[in-house]
Amino acid sequence: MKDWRRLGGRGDPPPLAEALLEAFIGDPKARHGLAGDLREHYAARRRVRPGWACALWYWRQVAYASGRYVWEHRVARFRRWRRLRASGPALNADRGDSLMRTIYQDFRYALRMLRKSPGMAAIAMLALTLGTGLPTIMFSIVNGVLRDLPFDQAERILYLHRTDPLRGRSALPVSQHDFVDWRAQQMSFEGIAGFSTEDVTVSGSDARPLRRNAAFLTAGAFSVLRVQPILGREFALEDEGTAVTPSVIISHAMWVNRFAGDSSVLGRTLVVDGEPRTVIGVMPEGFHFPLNEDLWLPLRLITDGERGEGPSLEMFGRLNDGISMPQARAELNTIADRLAREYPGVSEGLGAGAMPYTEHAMGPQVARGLYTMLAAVTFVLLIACANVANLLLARAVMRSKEVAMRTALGAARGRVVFQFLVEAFVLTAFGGLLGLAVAYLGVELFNREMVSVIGLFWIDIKIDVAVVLFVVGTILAGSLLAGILPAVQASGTKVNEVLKDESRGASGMRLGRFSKALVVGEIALSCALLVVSGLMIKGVLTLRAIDLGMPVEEIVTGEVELPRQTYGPAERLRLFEELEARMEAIPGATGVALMSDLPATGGFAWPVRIEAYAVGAEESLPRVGGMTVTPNFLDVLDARAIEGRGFTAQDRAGSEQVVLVNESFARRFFAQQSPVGRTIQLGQDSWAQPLRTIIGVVPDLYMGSLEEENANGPGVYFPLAQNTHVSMQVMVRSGGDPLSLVSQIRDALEALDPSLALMDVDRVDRLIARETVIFEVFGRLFLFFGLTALFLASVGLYGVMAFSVSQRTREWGVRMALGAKGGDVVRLVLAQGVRQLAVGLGLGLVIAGALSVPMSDIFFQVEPWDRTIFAIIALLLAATGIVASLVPARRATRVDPMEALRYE
Amino acid sequence: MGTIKKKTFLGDFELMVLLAILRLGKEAYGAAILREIDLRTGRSVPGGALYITLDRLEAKGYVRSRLGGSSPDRGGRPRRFVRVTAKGFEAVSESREALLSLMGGLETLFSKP
Repeated sequence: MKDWRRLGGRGDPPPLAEALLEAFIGDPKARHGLAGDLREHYAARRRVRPGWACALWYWRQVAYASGRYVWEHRVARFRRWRRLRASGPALNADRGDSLMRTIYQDFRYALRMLRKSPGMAAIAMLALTLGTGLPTIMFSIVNGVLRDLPFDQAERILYLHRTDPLRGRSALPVSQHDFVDWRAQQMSFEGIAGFSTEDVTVSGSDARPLRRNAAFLTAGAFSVLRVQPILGREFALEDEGTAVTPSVIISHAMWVNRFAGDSSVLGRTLVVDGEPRTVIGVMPEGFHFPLNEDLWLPLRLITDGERGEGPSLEMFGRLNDGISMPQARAELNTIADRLAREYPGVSEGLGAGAMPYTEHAMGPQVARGLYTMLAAVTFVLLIACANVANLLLARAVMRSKEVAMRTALGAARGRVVFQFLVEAFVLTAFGGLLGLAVAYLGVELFNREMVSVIGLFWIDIKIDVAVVLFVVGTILAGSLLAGILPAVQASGTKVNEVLKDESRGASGMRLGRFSKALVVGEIALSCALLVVSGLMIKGVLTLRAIDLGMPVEEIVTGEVELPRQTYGPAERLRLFEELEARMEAIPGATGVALMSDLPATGGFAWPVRIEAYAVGAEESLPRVGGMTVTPNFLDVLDARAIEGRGFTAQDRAGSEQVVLVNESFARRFFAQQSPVGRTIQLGQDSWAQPLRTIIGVVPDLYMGSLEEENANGPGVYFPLAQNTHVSMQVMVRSGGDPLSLVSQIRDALEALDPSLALMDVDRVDRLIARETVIFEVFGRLFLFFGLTALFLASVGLYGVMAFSVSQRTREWGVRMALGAKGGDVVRLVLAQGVRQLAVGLGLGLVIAGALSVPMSDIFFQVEPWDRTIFAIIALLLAATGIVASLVPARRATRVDPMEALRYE
Repeated sequence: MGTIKKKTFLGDFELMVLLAILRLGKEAYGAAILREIDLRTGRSVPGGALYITLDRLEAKGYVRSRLGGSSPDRGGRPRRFVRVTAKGFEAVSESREALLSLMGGLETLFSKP
């Protein structure tokens, strides 16, 4: 059996460790021999010891071997060589100038240079730590979110769907009839399977009932994924019919938690939504396909009804070898056309489509948004590299004499360039290692915040091999970026001119166009990053400023869902009302109600037909939010009817059908008049509700989700007694800690029906916050990114200005000796800084505009072209930039002319 | 100043490795040597240390090594088989003689009562 998880195969040592080992040991004999020996030992240990202990042992072996090899073959050999050389030059004559030794010398030289200027080294390393660390955090996120399914050749698994080109809709589910025909007729796929997901209640055995995500699957679904149960079997074609006993396959987690990992679980019974089912399989650990499911039930195909009727399903398939996605799409469309001709009127005008499974599950904008964010964060790296390049450039200027001397003594240009690159590499490598640590912390924090939101089982944000490779790539790219300009600049100078220059160490060589261009680039990139961060932060502030006006932090809630099979409409109402009565008796409960949805999290949008509000065509009925509630909901939410009355216990199924509307509703559809007493009809066609009379107007209580444009849009409330639901949120308010009432709520529910579960229990405010946590987290992340960029860019600008001012000390002296005033000098220096600033800002705003559009999904109610943010950031950067050039400019005025003329 | 010919002896671990190779004969390769040393002396040595020593011994001309057959356990990586050269054997016997002559007469010290 092929191990379906890429990492942690049984017999194999940690792949990263092995790769490191092989990288460190150059000699092939030693490399192959040792790696093989270690594998052999590892396999032997693995048979008797737990995996983590063996992995630890392996890592220790690798660390020891790499350390010893580096020491033996580089350092010790060099010492021996030096001893030999000390004992007489003749001994050394045949050794030549080997590449390894050159590199080694360059490294030692680089380290010595860095030790000599610890301040500069520290600044550069800090910049590079942030410059590699922050993009690595973002890369870990992108890498963790945009993973393929953890299955064999998962990239060939496609999501198959219907499209409706006429109405411009894609990714529509497929009817069961279509599924059966597609499955029978297609040739492009190794296999295709259908699924639908649902929440179910698991009871039976002796534990408390649980709500779990379940998926109904057609036969062979796991074979399409190439994952087999670790125990038992998957669903076969017979399971799709109604003849066999109902079966269930459970996740590894459920097997361990509910059955204590008992291997005799097969054949045992699990009650799912009141129906006893036989356990026929257990899936491997970590498998929760399609999204995050714990149970799999056979999908029973009902194809005897009218074509196109009945529940539809979602579909996936595995491409045959040699078939491409467009080819598969074309075939599906051919089948769809054939079906449309065969059954006119049912699926006419509908097409078919296919896309990578994960892309569908994630939504196509997510990948685009994430990659844009990654690109934006890479700016931090570029800024850091520009900074370091400038530092090295400044040093190159100071060392131009040394370089010229070396060249004059016969050093090849390549040798000089290489030496600079090595210096940059040493800095970047240290920075990169520290950056990896920063990224590790960042990822930990990110995961802690996001753990409740990630609902896709394959998402796994961590520092893995890909991330380490990213860091290595970053280090290499970074040292090239930071080192190449100074290297070329320094090595390209004209030897004679520099040596003729009268000053001692440095030369009069100016920081050229390179350096100015680097500063302009830094400003532009940090401007772009800051604008993007600003847009995000504005969103976070908008979000925080929302005052719901409801005591949501005093209310605890949980969802109760009744199985349809055992609860008809009358039984549902009876249970919910009894539950409400029992909860009212809980000591400490100051208010109790049931609501079909939580406020500020969104719900179903009903089409509505309103008396005396004319609409043209059927399609354009306005849509409004709708919630089903018990009469007390206004008290629990601290609200009261503005006009008319609220619901009472007298609004029963048999009495007049009534409805409450919110203020937005009244304003939008009734303007100046009173809506009370008017009638409306919700739903349309086959699912039209009876005419209902408006009996009152209530305040806007956030019908919609906070994410929506208008969370306080028009909406209506139905009384539960007249519109029974299968699933309701219990809302219990308490003066003290509402969470302390949870166990009593559970007891009340259990007393009524022990097979029912209370799920998603939490304080209402926290559940509402969970909806928007992604904005908060990314907002905070980018605040940090943006501030880092600002800091690095201002340090960079300051550094360059300060250096160029000090290089021109003599010039200032001459100018002042000839009568220039302090103000003139300041103006001169500032002018240079401001020019760079202006160009940088202009470029930066354009880049920001280009970035913010694809990222707008992550901005909370902020337009990507928010002028305020653009203006604030431009001003902020301009101010920072001016301060950064003002300080060196003032220093220039303090130059004593006599001193300056003597200055070398 | 005339040159003094310095006679060098094998290090303690080097000697162990050479003896283990001699014991194993044709079957001497990395993992087997480590097992042999562990088995006979109870000394568990990291793989890296053995390889450094083998490299050193090879550089001194005491052993020769070649890459040979593999097994599934090794993930397809060849074994590094080693054998002791004549020079190596001479070094071992020199060390042995030196040790034996130094131990001569001390048997009573070590014999268990």
